[in-house]
Amino acid sequence: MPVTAPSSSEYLPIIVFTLVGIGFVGATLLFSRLIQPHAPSKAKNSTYECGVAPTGNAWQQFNPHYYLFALLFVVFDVEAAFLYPWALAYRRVGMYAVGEMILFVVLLGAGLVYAWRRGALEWE
Amino acid sequence: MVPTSYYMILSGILFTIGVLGVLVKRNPIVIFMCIELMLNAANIAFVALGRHFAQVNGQMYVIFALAVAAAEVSVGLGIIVSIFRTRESINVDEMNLMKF
Amino acid sequence: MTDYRPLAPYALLTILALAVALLGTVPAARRSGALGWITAIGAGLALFISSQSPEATPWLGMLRLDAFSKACNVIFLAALAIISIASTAEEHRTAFAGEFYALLTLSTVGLMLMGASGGLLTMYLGLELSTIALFALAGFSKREKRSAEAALKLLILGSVASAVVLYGASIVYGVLGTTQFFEMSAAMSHPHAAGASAALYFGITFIVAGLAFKVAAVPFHLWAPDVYEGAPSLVTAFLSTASKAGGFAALLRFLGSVQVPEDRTISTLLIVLSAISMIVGNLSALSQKNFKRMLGYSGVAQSGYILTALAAGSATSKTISSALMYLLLYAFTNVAAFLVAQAIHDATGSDQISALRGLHRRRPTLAFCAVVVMFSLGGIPPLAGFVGKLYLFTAAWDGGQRCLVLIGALTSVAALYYYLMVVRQIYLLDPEDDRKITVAPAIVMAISLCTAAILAIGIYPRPFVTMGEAAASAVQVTSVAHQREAAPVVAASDVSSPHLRP
Repeated sequence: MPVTAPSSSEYLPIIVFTLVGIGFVGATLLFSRLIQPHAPSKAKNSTYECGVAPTGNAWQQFNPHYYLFALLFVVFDVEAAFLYPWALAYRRVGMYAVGEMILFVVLLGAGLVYAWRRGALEWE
Repeated sequence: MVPTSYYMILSGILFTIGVLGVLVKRNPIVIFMCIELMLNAANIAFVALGRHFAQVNGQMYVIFALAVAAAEVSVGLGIIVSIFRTRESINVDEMNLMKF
Repeated sequence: MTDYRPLAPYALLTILALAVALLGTVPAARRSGALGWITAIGAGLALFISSQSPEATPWLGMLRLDAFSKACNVIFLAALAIISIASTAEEHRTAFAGEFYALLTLSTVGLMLMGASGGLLTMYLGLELSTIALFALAGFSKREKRSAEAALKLLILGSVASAVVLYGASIVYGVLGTTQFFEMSAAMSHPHAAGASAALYFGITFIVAGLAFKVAAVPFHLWAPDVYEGAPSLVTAFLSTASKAGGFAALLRFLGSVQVPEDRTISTLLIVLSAISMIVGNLSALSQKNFKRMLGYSGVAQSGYILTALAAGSATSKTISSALMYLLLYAFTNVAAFLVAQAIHDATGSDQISALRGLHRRRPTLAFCAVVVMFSLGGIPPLAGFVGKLYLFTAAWDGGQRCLVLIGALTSVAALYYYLMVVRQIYLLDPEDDRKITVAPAIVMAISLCTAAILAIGIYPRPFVTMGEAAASAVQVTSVAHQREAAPVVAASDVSSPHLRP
């Protein structure tokens, strides 16, 4: 069996690290809450957007064009899921694997060409 | 090493949560998330069993199942968006144009 | 070296789908109405290649391209070709004709994979490929609220069904350590397998339930009437025939090649599914006013008839041949029925049964075809529906399911009532509006093809029975066969595992 199972003692550093992390953040927040002066104003309560004054509502609707891009992204994102095992296996399988992957990418490419022809890649 | 049965129990629980969510929820997007939960329950079982049998098959199934799930979600979201455009609501209780 | 020639029809259809989708983006090609003919010719060509190609089990037995898959391809590709021909009449109405044919073709490829599956993974992939394409097709006329609603219903219930199949497959994999059908049979006959049988039945039940959704058997039928009513008729024609045949092909392949020792549980499940499908389907159809919805419930009942044969023993040659033959003739019959619905909808704008009133005055040839279709669905000799039902019930009777055959016969009589009500509307009542109606020539041609096929199968069923018997012998397992199949696959997965593991 190539899998070496981690024993329970190997998890100990992770547990300690998690506890220290939670404790540090908790202590910092608690300490600053204890010593800070409390003087809220409108500017201070507004959402932090890198120093620029925030505009509009966070719940605004997005342009549906983003949805098309998201779809295309998902397609090529999942392609990557197939490329990784292929990259591991192709040294053993050889040219056959290269051919299959070319076929796979060509099929996906045809989909991209279709989306392009349909104008999915343009803003109006 | 965590026994395989733990993974199977986890996968059973996830699948049950998914089924309950599909039955109870009214928003199709949330229902879709519950369906993803059901698929991922099966994926967890496949990976855990693949390790149990020392086969690579289990992981192979998961890659295929992931690709299929992505395709399903793309089409599904497309349909939900088009429904939202025609009737400004996506509550499944209002999908009642056709009845007995 | 594996023989890859039998994959040619699959490759051809994939290329066809891509080509048609890309051609659909060229406005000139879209206007000419050529896309449907290209698809129909491609389907015919694929059918020819499929019938001529040798048998093979490529990719370590993931696919089984044998007489069974060829017989299934006949059903799927015939439905695809006829529906494509009929769709040319509607092509000018949409800007998305290319996508329509591409999705239909891809769905067909998925169904063909289901028929040719050698394991649960291939079956799942085929199921999803066909179902996902059908989600989009059901919502194809997206401006219509009913179509969008049909798409959402099919989407949610279909995704749940396929998730259930996948989960069932994972449980079966856990019990048997494999998902290849022949290896599964070998693992089940292994003496150590007995202890895990409860989990195994659990998994198999999940898979059967997911496939029962695909074939719209009660209690997994709730989507069918709604989706049949809401989706465009041309899509419903495909959904109610080819897609249903795909579900049955997978069920036959799965239950036929995986022989559970003393499978009382599975046959009980099938008996229940079959009995309630026949009863609920036929009784619900009685009260329908909408023609497409009535056909939806009638389709549920037809699934019940086919399940009677499966319940009698899924691996017998009679079961498989009679089920395949029924699916073939049902494909022609139901495609024709939904094309009649499409023609009537185009002419009158209504899907109600009353819209058929006095059709014999308004369009005599269409009325004749519609009546042939209704008689065939009702099982009146000498039409195909009668012959098919006879074979199915004989198989069930010989398999000892006499009670189911009795239920089938009784509900068939009830079913005759609603089919004859349609005939009454067409022939016995006078139309409110005496004007002739126009039907697109492509739809007339497609309906005539179907009617000719119904008459031909009814009068001379012999070649189709022979085809079914050849398919049956391909599915059945001999102990020698699965030992020969099992050995290389196990070895291959064992060898490859250390290398892919970091």
